[in-house]
Amino acid sequence: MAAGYAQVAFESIVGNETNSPTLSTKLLYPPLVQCTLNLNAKPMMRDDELRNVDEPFAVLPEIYDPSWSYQSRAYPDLTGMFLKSILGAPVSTAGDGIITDLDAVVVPTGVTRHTWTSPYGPAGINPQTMQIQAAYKDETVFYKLKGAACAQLDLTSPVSGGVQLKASGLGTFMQRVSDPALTPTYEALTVRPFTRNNLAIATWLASTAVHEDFTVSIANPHEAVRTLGISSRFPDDIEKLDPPIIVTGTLPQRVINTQDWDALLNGTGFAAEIRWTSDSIIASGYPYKLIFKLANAQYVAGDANPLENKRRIGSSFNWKATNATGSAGSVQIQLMNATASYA
Amino acid sequence: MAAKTGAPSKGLRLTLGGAPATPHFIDGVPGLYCPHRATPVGGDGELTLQEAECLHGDPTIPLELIDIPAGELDAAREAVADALREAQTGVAQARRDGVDSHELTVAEKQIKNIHAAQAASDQPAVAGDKED
Repeated sequence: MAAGYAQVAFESIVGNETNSPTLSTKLLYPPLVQCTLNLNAKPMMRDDELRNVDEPFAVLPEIYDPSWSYQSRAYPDLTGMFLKSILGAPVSTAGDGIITDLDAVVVPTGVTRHTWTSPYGPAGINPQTMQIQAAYKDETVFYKLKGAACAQLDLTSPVSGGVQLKASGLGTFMQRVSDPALTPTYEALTVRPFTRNNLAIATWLASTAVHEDFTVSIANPHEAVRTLGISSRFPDDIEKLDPPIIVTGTLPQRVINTQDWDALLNGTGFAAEIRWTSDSIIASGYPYKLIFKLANAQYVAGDANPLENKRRIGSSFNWKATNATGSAGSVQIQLMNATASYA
Repeated sequence: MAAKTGAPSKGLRLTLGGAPATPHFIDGVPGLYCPHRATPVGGDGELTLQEAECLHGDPTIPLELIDIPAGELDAAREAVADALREAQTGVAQARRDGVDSHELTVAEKQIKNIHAAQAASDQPAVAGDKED
């Protein structure tokens, strides 16, 4: 068995080469499938210099632009961690037998309801950032990435293998560190990840065609910035780009019908609710849940599949959560799990 | 087994920051540990008190040794046993919970009815009626 682990914690401020952000109380050792920290070294090439030497010249270390990517199954605890990384902190409310979830189901004691409502957070020009430590323990090599912000989070629900969570983004400072001597700790295997059979598209365009698959993507673009505040080969800040946080996805369908195509043609908006209800119970018969509730979704691309010698010809559409009223809160994302806080 | 003197027994509680209130396992440490209740030590099949004290003293291990009031020891041990049983039967139970916890499709209702019928057929209705 391979020995290695990653530890993820939130930063109080964007970490860089010189500062020491306060890390969150919440620590996560994710049961990752893959985690990559990239240095993205960009040494200075000087082959354009006229030195009467017909050979490439030695490069000089100049700048680095770290990035990271992550993939695992969508376990309830870590799903909240990565949702916070891209959407900011949720409003976390302990279940009390009185509050309800987006389906108006009472949330009992022992369950915590985490809610993210558009336009999300955090406020200001900086996104939420994380510190990620990657331990290649078998090779005795350890890396730390500071200022890791999440630019993209994808949830896919293949038929088998569990719902897949992929996340990626930029970072500021990456270094090789000595063995941090951390002890990875994981939730018991009885807590199952969300799976395809947990997925229900509870509300969608009326008379839509039969669905084949469904994916959700959240995008929160940002850039790594060199503010000249410190002397470093690395960026020292992460700043949000101008576009808002966007929730989109794809909807492959097994057949074509007029409703979906007309909705794309006319930009028809419709309410939508997508729900994953886990097989695992948190407390009092209440299962782990992840709910996306969209006040207005629209198709933004798509078409019928090519007409061919086939009995069944499907279609595929790209959808986008949009705001049709101008009033904030067009998207609500709720995760019910046993994690009391992501602070 | 800890003497029944009324004195508190000891247990290990998970101190991993922000851990959900579910059982956790720690690399290199036998047993399951929770942030909201202690796992007893010192009893049959449990870590010894000395082992527990070593884990408590290791800053890299997110466990702390705390007192379990004498009146709560049995409940703590039962909770640990439940966690282990759940781990052993988790898959089967999860399937049943999965069927019960969401709106069933027609096919899923049929499956549930078949399971219920099978369970009922295992119970003999009248003594002597059970097939050989």
